[in-house]
Amino acid sequence: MAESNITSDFHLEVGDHGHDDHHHHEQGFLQKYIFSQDHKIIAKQFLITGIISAIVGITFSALFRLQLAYPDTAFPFLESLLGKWAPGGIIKPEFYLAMVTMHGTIMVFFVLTAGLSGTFSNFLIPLQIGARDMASGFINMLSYWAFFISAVIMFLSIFIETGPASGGWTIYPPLSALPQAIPGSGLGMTLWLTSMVFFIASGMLGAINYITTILNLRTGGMTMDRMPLTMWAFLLTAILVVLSFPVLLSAALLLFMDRLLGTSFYLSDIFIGGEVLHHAGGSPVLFQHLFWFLGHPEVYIVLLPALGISSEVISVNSRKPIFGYKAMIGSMIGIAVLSFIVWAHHMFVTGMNPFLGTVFMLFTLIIAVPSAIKAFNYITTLWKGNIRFTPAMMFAVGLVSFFITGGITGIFLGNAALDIPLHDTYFVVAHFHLVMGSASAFGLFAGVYHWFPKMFGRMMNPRLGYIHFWFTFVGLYLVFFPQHFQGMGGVSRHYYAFTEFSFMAEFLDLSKFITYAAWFTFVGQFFFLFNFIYSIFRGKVAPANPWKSNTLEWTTPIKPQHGNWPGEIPSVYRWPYDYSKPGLKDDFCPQHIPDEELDYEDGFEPPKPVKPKEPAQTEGSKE
Amino acid sequence: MATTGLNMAKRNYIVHPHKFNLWLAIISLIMVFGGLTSAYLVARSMVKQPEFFDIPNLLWINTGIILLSSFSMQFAVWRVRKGDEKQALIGLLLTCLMGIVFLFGQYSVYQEMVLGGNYFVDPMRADDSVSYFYILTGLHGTHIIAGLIALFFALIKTGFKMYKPGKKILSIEMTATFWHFLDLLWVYLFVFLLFTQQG
Repeated sequence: MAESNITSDFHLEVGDHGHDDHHHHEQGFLQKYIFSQDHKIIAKQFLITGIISAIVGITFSALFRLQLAYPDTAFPFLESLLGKWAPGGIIKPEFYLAMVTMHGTIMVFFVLTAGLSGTFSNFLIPLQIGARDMASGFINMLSYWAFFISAVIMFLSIFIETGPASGGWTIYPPLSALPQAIPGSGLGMTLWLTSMVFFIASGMLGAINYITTILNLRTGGMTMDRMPLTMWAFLLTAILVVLSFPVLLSAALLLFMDRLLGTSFYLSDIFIGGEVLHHAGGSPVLFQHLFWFLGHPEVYIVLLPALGISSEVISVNSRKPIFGYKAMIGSMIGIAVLSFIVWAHHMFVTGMNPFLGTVFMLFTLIIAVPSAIKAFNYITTLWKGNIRFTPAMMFAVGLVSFFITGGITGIFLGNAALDIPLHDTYFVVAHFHLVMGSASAFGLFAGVYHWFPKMFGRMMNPRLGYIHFWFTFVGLYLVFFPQHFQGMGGVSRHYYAFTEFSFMAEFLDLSKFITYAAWFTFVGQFFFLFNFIYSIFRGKVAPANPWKSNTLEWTTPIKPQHGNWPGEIPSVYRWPYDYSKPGLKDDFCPQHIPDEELDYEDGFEPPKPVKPKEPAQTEGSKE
Repeated sequence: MATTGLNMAKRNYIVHPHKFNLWLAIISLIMVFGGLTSAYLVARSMVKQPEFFDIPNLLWINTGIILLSSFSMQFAVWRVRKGDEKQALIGLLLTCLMGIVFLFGQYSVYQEMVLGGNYFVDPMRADDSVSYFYILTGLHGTHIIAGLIALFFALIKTGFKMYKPGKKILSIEMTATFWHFLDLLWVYLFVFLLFTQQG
């Protein structure tokens, strides 16, 4: 193989592998599609598992929204759907809590962590940095299958006698630590924890691989400051995973011990059903500390890949260089670092020292600075751009909109004093659903629309894409914007029905409106689902570079085989954002074409090639 | 493309990707144990009157054994780099044995703790310090078992010459890195436990 002279033995081995495959395509179905070690197949496995998870997660939300809008109305179809959990068509409180918990868990971990980061990190990292595959294909395969087992356990827990975990996706003790607390605290909670252990293993294996691949396997010329912003986002996300998920593992280990063996790490001075429990010395607040040390970085694990994807999509479709490339990287690093020292802003009302609260408030508010830099850079990239409104672009711009709207309410919530009335109200629900949920989901959609041609060799239908966009964009705003008012009115986010308290009952009509909007959004997702499945088989065959993009993934064959490039891996000569460069015939200039081979307009004198830091050149210039 | 890029000098990794993976795994393990020891400190700060217990003296001997095993492990690495497989085998074997002795030592420590009335689950105690002792040592022990499995593979593969060409040194070096880490981790945990058991 030709690249063997530029890489060490390890790379050669991967390269040879690709070469072999190129000659004999015979690979068993199991090896090719199920236990595949090819990053592109693994990415598709993550995506499809993520989409299935999303269907379950969104369906739950559509169902519990019915309960919130019509707490006393019987819906016969619910009884046929949920059986004993909705006798007479009214959802039981236990199952309402279970559905909310499952919605949160599935959407945060299975869809927006594994489905987003797992899909696009796996798919794009080797393609965009110019590598044959991940550093370790085997670890990559393990990562997917650990995720798969985790998902299967989580979905099975929905069908058990006592119902799935019901203590919220944050599984605070004592609800999660005492099996006798509520029905969902029993086997459901145990399965939840088991599932999460596999999930953490999956995340760690994946993240370790992503970091190593990005740092070690970049093609010639692909320096760190020539990487697409997607790569930077995935790298930082993976670093966050490696540093934060282990702490969740520690927290889960102690919780397991409390549940199964009767230790009291998180329990103290408690009695249940009139019976005093022999637990002393622990504290449920300790769990919150451990959980949110993961939980806050997790927010950025969800968001950063979406921001990376939108940077790429916005630049490509504005036909303009990304504004402030280095500021984008710097602010992502800033967000990543800050995310580790703000966890206690989830715990302002746990009775913490007010001075400590002020420190965490300060750090929390500082996050607004890098976030604002990113938001401004997106807008300035769009400014006077030659914008193409592809569905991916629509979703990327939608992401920026949600990021700003949801980010601003973060300033309110990060304030320790304001958090006292707003904590655990619908204001919080609105905030994180906009900034983390909707923004990241839009990043996921933007990524799917943008890289679908590379994944499946076919184009998605743009018209269905636009319909999907407007349903989702309008729908999500209609769902979450009114929730701010509910939250400021003091409506608690954890209640089964708003009818019990008169000040909450006032908001019942608004709740109905939100539910209509939620169903509107829910219906809109079927356009995507149909488009996705239909286009895999019947979509228009994609050209090699449908978006006229600069990055390396479009230099592979339309359907890249194992090893990605049939011949040598292209080298890289510039950063990936040279769009609409003055003097060039095309409005883009791919990373892999050397300056000498670019097509200039007639009469335009190309700038002299600058070749720094090569000993031969410096000697030449002396002459 | 026939032309070579600007920075296309022959690239040698500073760290082999597999080793880099291992280091990342080690970082995540540091976070696991860092999380647990921090949890212990937070829990201790929330208890009004912490109850102390005596750390079994046997732990000093165990610490000595695991420290020694690191030397034999490094000896194996040096020998295998020199191509001296027989002596490397001896180093690996010694490390393996000392690892097993360490595990038995930890088991005896548990026995001593239990005989002294310090149980993992004890509803009568007002704090969790003993539970944390078992959690920290137990979790370290399970990682020692993982290290022993790696050592065992290295031993078999070196003994029966089952390594693929070019894989032997890498694989034994990685085993050694992990083993040294477990050694240092133990020293950290031991010092941590010693200090947290004194007022």
